[in-house]
Amino acid sequence: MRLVLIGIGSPFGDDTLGWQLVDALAARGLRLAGWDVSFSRADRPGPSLLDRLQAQDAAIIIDAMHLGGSHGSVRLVQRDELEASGSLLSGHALGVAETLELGEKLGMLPPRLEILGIEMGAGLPSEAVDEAADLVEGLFGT
Amino acid sequence: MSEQRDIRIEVPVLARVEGEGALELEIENGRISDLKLRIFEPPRFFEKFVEHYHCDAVIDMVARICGICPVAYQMSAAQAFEGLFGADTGPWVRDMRRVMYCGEWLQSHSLHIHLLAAPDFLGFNSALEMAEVYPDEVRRGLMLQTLGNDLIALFGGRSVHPVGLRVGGFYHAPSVEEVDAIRRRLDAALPEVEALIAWCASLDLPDDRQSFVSAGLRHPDEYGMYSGRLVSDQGQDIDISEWDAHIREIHVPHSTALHAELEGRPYLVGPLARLNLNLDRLPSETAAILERTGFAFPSDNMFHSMLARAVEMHVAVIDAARLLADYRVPERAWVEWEPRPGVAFGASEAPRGTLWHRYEVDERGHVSGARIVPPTSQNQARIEQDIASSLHELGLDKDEDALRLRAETVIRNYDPCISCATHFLKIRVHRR
Repeated sequence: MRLVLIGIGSPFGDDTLGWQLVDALAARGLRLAGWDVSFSRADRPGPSLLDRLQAQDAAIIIDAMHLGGSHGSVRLVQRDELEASGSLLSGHALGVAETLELGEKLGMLPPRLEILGIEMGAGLPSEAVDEAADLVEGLFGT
Repeated sequence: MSEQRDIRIEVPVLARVEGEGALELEIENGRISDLKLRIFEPPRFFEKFVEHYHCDAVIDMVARICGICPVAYQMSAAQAFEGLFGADTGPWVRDMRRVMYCGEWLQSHSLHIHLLAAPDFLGFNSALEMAEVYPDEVRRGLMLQTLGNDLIALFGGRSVHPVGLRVGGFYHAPSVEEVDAIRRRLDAALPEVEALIAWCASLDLPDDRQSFVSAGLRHPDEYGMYSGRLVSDQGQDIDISEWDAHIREIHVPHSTALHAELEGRPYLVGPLARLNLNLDRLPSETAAILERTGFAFPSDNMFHSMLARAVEMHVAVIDAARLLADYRVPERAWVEWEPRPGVAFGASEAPRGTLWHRYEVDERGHVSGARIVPPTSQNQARIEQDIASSLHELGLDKDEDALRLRAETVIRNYDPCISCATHFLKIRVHRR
């Protein structure tokens, strides 16, 4: 069974937290028996995100967000919590929500898909990595 | 009696949005008395940002002008500096840059056809709606877009704002294995692009013939893309260093982007203009497929732009596969050069049309002045002409929704680089 953890972000600024967190989880090594786990960074959502989700049995998307919590706090986010414009009218407006909506309509999403949000801010607190690892192991660990 | 109706389209607040556009339309006694496409574009600031920077840094800076067509900005800039310094990059660099450029055409055109333009012609409000009815077509479009992005990343390190280009060549040459893998995907994509052309040709595109000037780059032996002379269907054939003698940029109060005129007239750049001017430069396979569609080119129907994009995607796949067929890793992916002071000119064909750069460079290779003329600026006056003509054709007595939809469709058809902005089109109609 294949599980991919995808960090979404960009190289600089607070938006880089998604990348930093997925890198930290990869470095730590997760205890997920029965799962063939891979880690990847996406520099923007859109078609390339859907491409990375293909042929996976499960996926966790990790993205920096404004969740209203303290900097670095981590929690699972439901699909319907993401604000989609519902229009997908512009290449620039292809956010995570719109991309997942499109992927769903095209039957390109894996059977299990989780979204892990990390509260925006400068730098990755080590507690965030602990929290995220616990959450992922709770979901996919034995 | 005077009547004024204001229509305001709800603007959702979205992340990753650049630019803003609006349309003002005045209808007087059943005629358009005023029409203004109001847009705001960033390149003006970039021209100042790049001053005092070394030309190698400038290549990466100008890539930031656009998230969809960064390669075009890098290609025009790199060639400008290399031309001034007399750096002959040789066939390997030249060919691989064209391959990378093919990647940008593929991803940009596919994005535009499937997510922006096609819903207009199939009667959907969005690509999401369209995806429910045409899932195979949208999946095919996403596959081609991803292939284009991966071609860019192959040479650029990443597909958004790639960093692989340097003055004189590339920082890094991909391995034979990486190239083999992507070449197999190009071969597999070829029948898919052929099917895409047939699909675009089967759509019910409005029959809206207009008189306009087509302009774009033309090269002695390849389809205008990486370099060439600026030509038009009115007989112009201009070295890009002579640009200013023929093209005049004009400031208009309603737009922060300059308008442009070729010999005093609005003109068209972009896929349709390029195809009109480069029919005899199409690969023979592409020309045969285009002929089978039954569409006659050169075309004076602006709505054939989408078909032209599909045709150019075929050109991109064929050219990239051909140029990678005998790929070898060179000893070095760049050539040495010495800076030289002077004025540098570069032009290439961005997905949306001709992108011209001019730099003043000092003896250390630092930029002291820059001018960048992007395709969307050049098309502005033509878009305004087109909207007026198209709305007349539709009928000015139609309600605001119908007028707005047609105006949006016309604007989207040009794939302006402020595409996000033009989709939030605010339209204000004054009727008297």
